[in-house]
Formats: sequence, structure tokens, C-alpha cells
Amino acid sequence: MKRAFLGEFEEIVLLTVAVLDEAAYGVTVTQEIESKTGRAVGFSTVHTTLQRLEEKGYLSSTMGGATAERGGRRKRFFTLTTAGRKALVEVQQVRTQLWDALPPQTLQLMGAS
Amino acid sequence: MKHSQPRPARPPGWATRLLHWLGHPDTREEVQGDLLELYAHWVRTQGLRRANWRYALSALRLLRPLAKPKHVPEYSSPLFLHPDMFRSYLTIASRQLWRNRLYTSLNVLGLAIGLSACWVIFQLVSYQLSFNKGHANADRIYRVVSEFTQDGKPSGNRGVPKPLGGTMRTQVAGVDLAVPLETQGQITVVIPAAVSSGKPLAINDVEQVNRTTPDYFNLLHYQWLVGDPANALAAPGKVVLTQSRLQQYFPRLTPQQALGQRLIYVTYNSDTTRTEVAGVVADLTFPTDFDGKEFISVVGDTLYTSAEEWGSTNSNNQLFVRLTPAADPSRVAQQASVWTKKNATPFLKKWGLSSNDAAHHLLQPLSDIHFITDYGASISLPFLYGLMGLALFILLLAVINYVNLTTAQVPQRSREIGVRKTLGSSSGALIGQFLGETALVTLLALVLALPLSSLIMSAFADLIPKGTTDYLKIGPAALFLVVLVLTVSVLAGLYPGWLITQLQPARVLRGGSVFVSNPGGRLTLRKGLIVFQFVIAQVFIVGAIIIGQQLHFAFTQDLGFTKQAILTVQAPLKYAWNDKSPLKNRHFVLRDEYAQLPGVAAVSLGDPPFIPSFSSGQAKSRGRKGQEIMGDVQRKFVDTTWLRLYNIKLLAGRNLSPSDTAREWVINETAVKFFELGTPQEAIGTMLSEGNKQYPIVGVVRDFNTMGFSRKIGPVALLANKQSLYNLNIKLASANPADWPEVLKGLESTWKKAYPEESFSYRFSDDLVSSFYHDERNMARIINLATGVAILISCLGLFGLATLTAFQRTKEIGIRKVLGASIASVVGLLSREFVTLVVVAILIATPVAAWLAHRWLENYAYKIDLAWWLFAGAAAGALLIALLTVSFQSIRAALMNPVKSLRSE
Repeated sequence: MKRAFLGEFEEIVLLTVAVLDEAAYGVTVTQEIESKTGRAVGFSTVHTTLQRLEEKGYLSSTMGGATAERGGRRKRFFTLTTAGRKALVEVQQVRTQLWDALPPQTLQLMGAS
Repeated sequence: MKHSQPRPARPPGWATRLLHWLGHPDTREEVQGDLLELYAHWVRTQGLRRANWRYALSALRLLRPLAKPKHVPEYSSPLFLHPDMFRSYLTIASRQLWRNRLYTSLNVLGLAIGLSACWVIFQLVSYQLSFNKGHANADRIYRVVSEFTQDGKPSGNRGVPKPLGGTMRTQVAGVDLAVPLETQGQITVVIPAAVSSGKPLAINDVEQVNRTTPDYFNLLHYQWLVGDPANALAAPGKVVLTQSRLQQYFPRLTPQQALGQRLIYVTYNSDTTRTEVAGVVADLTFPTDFDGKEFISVVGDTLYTSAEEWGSTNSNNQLFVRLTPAADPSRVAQQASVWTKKNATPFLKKWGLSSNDAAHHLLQPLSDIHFITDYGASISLPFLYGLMGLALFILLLAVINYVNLTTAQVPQRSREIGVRKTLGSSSGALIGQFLGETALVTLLALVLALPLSSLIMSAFADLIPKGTTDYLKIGPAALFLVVLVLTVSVLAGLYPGWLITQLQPARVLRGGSVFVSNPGGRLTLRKGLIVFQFVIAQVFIVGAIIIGQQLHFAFTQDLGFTKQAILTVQAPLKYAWNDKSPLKNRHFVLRDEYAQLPGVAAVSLGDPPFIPSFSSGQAKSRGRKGQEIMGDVQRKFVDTTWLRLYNIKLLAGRNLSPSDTAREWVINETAVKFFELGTPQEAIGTMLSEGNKQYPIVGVVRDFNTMGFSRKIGPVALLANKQSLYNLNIKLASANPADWPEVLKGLESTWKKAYPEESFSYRFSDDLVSSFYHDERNMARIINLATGVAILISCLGLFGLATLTAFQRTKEIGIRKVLGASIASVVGLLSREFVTLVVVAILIATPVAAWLAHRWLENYAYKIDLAWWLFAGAAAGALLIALLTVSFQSIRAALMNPVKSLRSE
């Protein structure tokens, strides 16, 4: 079976969409990533990543929710697909396995135990 | 109280628009919305500046092709710059051009002619404009020239009195350097120890030899191959050569070995300067008026300090100055004038002139001197601008042709355009496509234009200054060509491109009329363009006719003397003017020898009536009321047989009597009138004075032309002065040119016996006369070519349009013929429209041409009348050409079998 491959930024975007649940669209995703990670994220990067994730089948989108602030234009809301959820879980599992495999001395050195 | 709401901040409009045009259409809506929302957020949290910046940056990064999805799920219109679209355009364009081969070749040909005109003239103009631009400190270098006032009219001389340079250097504030540059006429160079033979070698008629001071090399930067720049010319008897001359004189020597080699310069009157080579410099590689190749030191020449030299000005004695950065050129010139006036006055007085006859000096910036024709320059800026205008006009004609033919073809292409529009092509993309097609045609035209322009260049090789083609620099030339092609493409393609965006696809595809508005409106523009073309062509035609007529007039008009079968031979001045030469008086013997030859009718010594250079003096008389009349008199030194040889009629008195010195004058009618001497008979015996001498008038001759038709005949005095006779005028017995070579052979062999070392050269009088109209004839050649080109291009356009009209009206003509129209009426129907346009053009062009012709003819004292038939002839010519062009197509259309044209539906 083909394993999901997610880039670091893709993973963050995918997670953020999951966190935001119903309210995930370009703006909220950008702002959420900025506030959670503290790093300045370009909107265009977020936009292309969202598109790429949709192409890969991890996200699906629907249009809706026009407001005056955005000149009456609709938003593209993103939600996780089954494949998206599975991919996130897989990544999570890989990480956990790796953490578990860390020798105890190293863990102590890192000050993480 | 009302308070205004703070206006919401707006993101940069250009970024929004860019995003709108170039963003991906599938996600355009939400991306724009998201960005607006984010913008508002950024303005609140980070301030306006930073928000603008981030907005613009995000927008830019979302433009295609930067942001392109990996695969497109369903069809969306591709970017018009996409490679696939490009290929599609190319395919369509090549098919289109190939299918309409006739129009394509008309377009390519027209544009090629326009482009080659531009290309040739670009080369000419850029070469001329680059003159003297390569010198360092050029903005501070000036030439000092002299202006004299004669009869209230200023006349220029590029020379100055010899001592002026030294005085300016020491006495005038603001002069950094003052460098005299004395150009030597043709001079003989003797190489005492020529490398090849070891024997002395003499080279005659060497040019580009200058005499100057060491400062010359401070004024202008030369690259020194050997020698000390500061001291090479510091002593008398030194010479600096350029590398090219070194190679000519001492082909096997390196510059180092050439140092100390001896060269002897001998002028025509045996003035000898012995020199040794003190330095070698590299030749200047850029266009410059400083074309000296050999520089002889002028140091120690006493003429440059002699007081008497202040009174004379020779155009060979140029003076260049470099001013300090703060100096004011006009003040410097004024001070120089003051010095010359002060120093020259005593000598002018001695010669019977006033101090007002002293030279008034002007400073000419180095960058200008190549274009000041009054001071010896051969080309003027207005002439260059005229050439550029000519090129532009021709190009404009070609562009108009293209626009005309292409817009006329739009209906034929409406299907393709309709389909493109339905499939979502934007107006921008369509215009782009048309511009691209135009660029393709222009490029084809350029390929044709390059060989065409070399053809023009070789046809006009004698008019094009040497070095023009060598000078051409790849960079600017390529840039010019690129800009030219782009400009032409945009000019020619924009209007047709815009026109097709006005097409209504629904109507086109349904098969209805092509445009919303009526097509009559479009035709008006096209008609206007044709009228414009023919106005220009017509002006050219009239111009060519009038210049031709004036030249014909100049050649055939009675000049007042016989010019047929007379030739002039000049005795070598290096003997005739050289008191030390044993051959000094040989030409008097030669005259008698020539008179004995078979085939020679008469020989006379004297200045030919028509001669480009002449000597003149100021003569004075007492008028009727006792007032003093003073004016210029052109002198002609002649012997006693001269009048008979040239068949100039004596109106009163007698011919000159033989004399070694000038003692009496024969004058022309104009001189009699000018000096108010009454009738020719009354004038005999009166006195005219020149300087301090008095001359009795012994004869009056009928006026004859001496200076060409641009000037009125002025007062002329004929006088006998044996020392000034050196032109042999030979009248041949036979009027039949076939007999002449025999006689010329005899003349030459007799000459060789008299002057074994000199080559025999002669000029026929009618050649001398025609050389006076050198400029006019060159202008006539250029105008004739331009006329031909203008007619050709206009006719190409007319022909193309006529073809199209005939094609578009095939059905109409078919129906007309079926209903009984005659062939003549159909031809008339098709031709009438175009002939009307040409008539309108003629009506507009005639007054313009008449005005221009009038202005041009004002340059001539003797000229043709602007007769109505000149214009009528030009108009008839233009009409005839237009009619011929159109009738070919009209007749073909009219002869077509209506069955064929009507069956196809």
C-alpha cells in the first residue's frame, strides 16, 4: 500500500484544517498557523498548499459564506476527507514509534522525560 | 453632528488588477476574497504600509505561471502566453499568411522598402552624429573662427590670423590651451632613405598633413606607441606620424625603429621642411574631423608671431582652444575679436580697408563643427533631420498599407476570431495574436530589407561618406533594428487587432454581418489612409518634376557664353606659381603648341567663365550724384582671345590689349549698372578704383553667368595679368564628340612633352557647369528614388484593396451582369471609388506641393515659373498610375463568368 507522504508544512496545514473544523478557509488557516506557530506565513503559500492537499485527495472543499468585508465574494471551505484523516493518523503513528525507540539516556539529555 | 466615517483602507489597485488578469480563473473568486479579508486584518494588526506590502507580495506570488496547479481537473482557458497557445498562433499565422500569399507579399514588400529606407538612413545619420563625440573633455574644446561682414551680409571663414593663438593663450582669461592647426594642401613627401631601395622616394599629393604645436596632443588624446607626448613637437623639424602613415612610408620598421627617420616635405612652391620622426601615435578609431595623419612641428615659425599676419585670414589656419571649466565662451570670443581688431587695423588701413573689415571671432563647440556648413562642414543638421523625416514618411506609408490590407481582410477571418472568442479568448490575447502576426510579417520584411538596403547603399555609394558602413556598431544597430521591428509591429498591428475585438461572435458564427456598427464607418478610415498615402506620393511627384525642370533649365538655358566643345586644362601650379622652376612659363609655349594641333580651333589662356573658385576685390566709383559707390567685383584674368573663344559679345569699346600687368578693365553690363556708369557707351573711358589703383574701362561685354543659377550675376571685371593666367581653354574644331578622342590624344602627348612628370587631366565646360549643380543633382536622385518608392508603396496598397473589393463584391457583380450590366459599367463601378480617392488626394496635395516648390525655388536667382501644367501633369500621372493599378483587378472581376460566381451557394 502506498504510504501517505506529507511535507512538514502540509502536515501543519492539514492539522490546522482539522482543528478549525467547520470554519477552515484560506484566511482562518493562515491566521491560525500564524498564532499557533508564531511564524509569519505567506497567504500564497497557504493557498497553494491547500490546493495541493485537495489535489492529493486529503481535503475537499465547498464554496459559501460571502461577506461584505471580502467584497461579496464566497469563501472556499475545506474539510478533511477520510484519506486526509488517515494520513494524519499515519504520520502521528510514525512519530510515536520513533519517539518510543529513543534510548532513555538521550531522552534525559533532551530534558523531555 | 455628522462625522465622517474613516474611509476603509484599499489595497493597491495594480496588484488587484494583476491578480484579476493573471490569477488562475478556477480559484480567482475565493483568492480575491481571502486576500481582501486578510488585508483588512493586516491593516488592523500591522499598519497600512506593511499590509499593502504583504497584499502585493501575496498577489504577485499567486500569478500564473508562478502559481500553477499540477493538473487541471476540467477545462479552463489557458494563459495566452502558454507554449501551446504560442504554437497555435504560429500555425494559424503561417497558414493565414500562406493562404493569402498575394497580400502577404504585398505587405512584406511594402514594409521591406520602408524598413530598408530606415536602415540606410539610420546608418548615415548615426555615423554623422557620432562625429567628434569620442574626444575627452569635448565640452570644453572650441574652434575659433572668423566672421566677416561684406555688403551687410556675414560670411564665415573657419580660419583665423596666425598670431591669434599665441595671444589668446597668454592674454585672454579662461583659455586653458590654444592650439593652431594648419592644414597643408597637397604636399610632396620625400623619404631620403626608403627602406625598400635605400634611394630617395618621393610621394606626390599627400593629404592630411597638419602643422601644429606640442599642445595638440594635450588637447586631444592619442595613444602613443613611441615618443614623448610633451616634447615630441617641442623643437622645429620634428614630425609625429600615425601608425597608418608609418606603415606606408616605412613598411618594415617598428615604431621604435622609425624614431629619427628623416622625411622632407615640399610644397608646390618648393618650400622645403626637413623633419625627423619624433613619435608615432595610433590612428584615431572613432569618427572625427581631426583627420590629420602627420603632424609637423610649427615651433619656431616666425609667421605665427609676425605682426603683419594679423591682417590675413586663411581657412587652412584653424585654431582650437580648450577653456577652463568656468570660462564663458562668448566672452572669450569677444576678447579675441578685440585683439584681432586692434592688431589688424594698421594693416587694413594700409590696404585701403577700414577696421570694420577685421575678423570678428566666434567660438564653436567641438560637437557642432561637423555640421556648420557656413564654415566648411559638408553636412548640416537640418539635412540629417530631413533624411530622417524622409525615412519616417516612407515607413509610415508602408505601415498604412499594412493597416489597410489587414483590416480589409478582417471579414474573411471573422470565423476564426468568432471561434476563439467563444472559447474564451480575451481581447488582450486576440490583440496579442494580431501583433504577433504583424511582428512575423515585419521580420520577414526585415530579412528582405537587409539585402535591399545594401543594394541602395551601393547605388548611392558616391553620396555616402567613406567609413559609414565600417563605423556601424553591432550593439546600437541591433537595438535599433529590434526597436524598429517592435514599433512597426505595434503601429501596424494595433488597429487591426483592436478592430477584431469589436467583432460580435454570435453574429459572425450565425453568418450575419460582421460588425455591430455599419461597415461604412470602417471604410472611411481606410479611405482616409489611402488619401493620405496619395497626398504624400503626389507631393513627391510634384517635387521630382520641379527639381527635374529646374535642373533642365539650368543646363539648357543660355549662360551668355558658349560651352560646347570647349575644354579646360590647368597648368601645374607647382611650376606656374614657382619662381624658381624652369618650367614656370612653359604653359605659354604649350598654348602655342596646342593652337597648332589639328582639330583644335582656338586656345586661350584665362579663367573659365564658370568656375567654383574665383578672386574678387572691392571697387569704387563716383556715381551720378558724386556719391561713392563701393562693391565686390569678381575678377577674371584672361588673354585677348578669350572673348572670341567663349563667344561673349562686346557691347561697347574694345577688347583688352595685351599686357603683362593689369592696366585696364573690361566689365559686364551688371557692373555698368551697379557703378552707375550710364549706358555701355558712356561707361567707356570712366575710371574704377580698387585699393589705391585706378583702372580705365575700355570695354563692356554682355552679361554671362559665372556662379550658377542660385546667384544673380554680379559685377565682373576682365583684366589681363600674365602672371595669373594658368588655365588653358581649348576650343575643338569639331562639334561631333566622335572626333574628340583623337584630338585629346594629341593634347595629351603634347602635354607629356611639356611636363613629363605630370598627369594630363582636362574638364569639359559643360561638365564644369554641371558640377555646379552637384548638390541639386544629388538631391534630384534622392527625391526621384523617394518618389518611386512612395508611388510603389501607395500602388501596392491600392492594388491590394482593389483586389479585395473585387473579391468581396464577386456576387454583386455576378448579379449585375446577369441583370444586363455591361463590362464597361462594371469596371467603372469598381474603379470610380478609388479614382475619387486619388482625386481628393491630388486636391489636397497640390497647394502643399506648390508652397514647398515655391520655397525651394526661392534659393535660385534664375528659375522656372511654377506653371499650372506642371501640377496638372503630375496629377494626370498619379491618376493614370492609380487607374492602371485598379483596372487590372476591375477588368478581371468584370470579365468573370456570373455562372461561376453565383453557383457556389
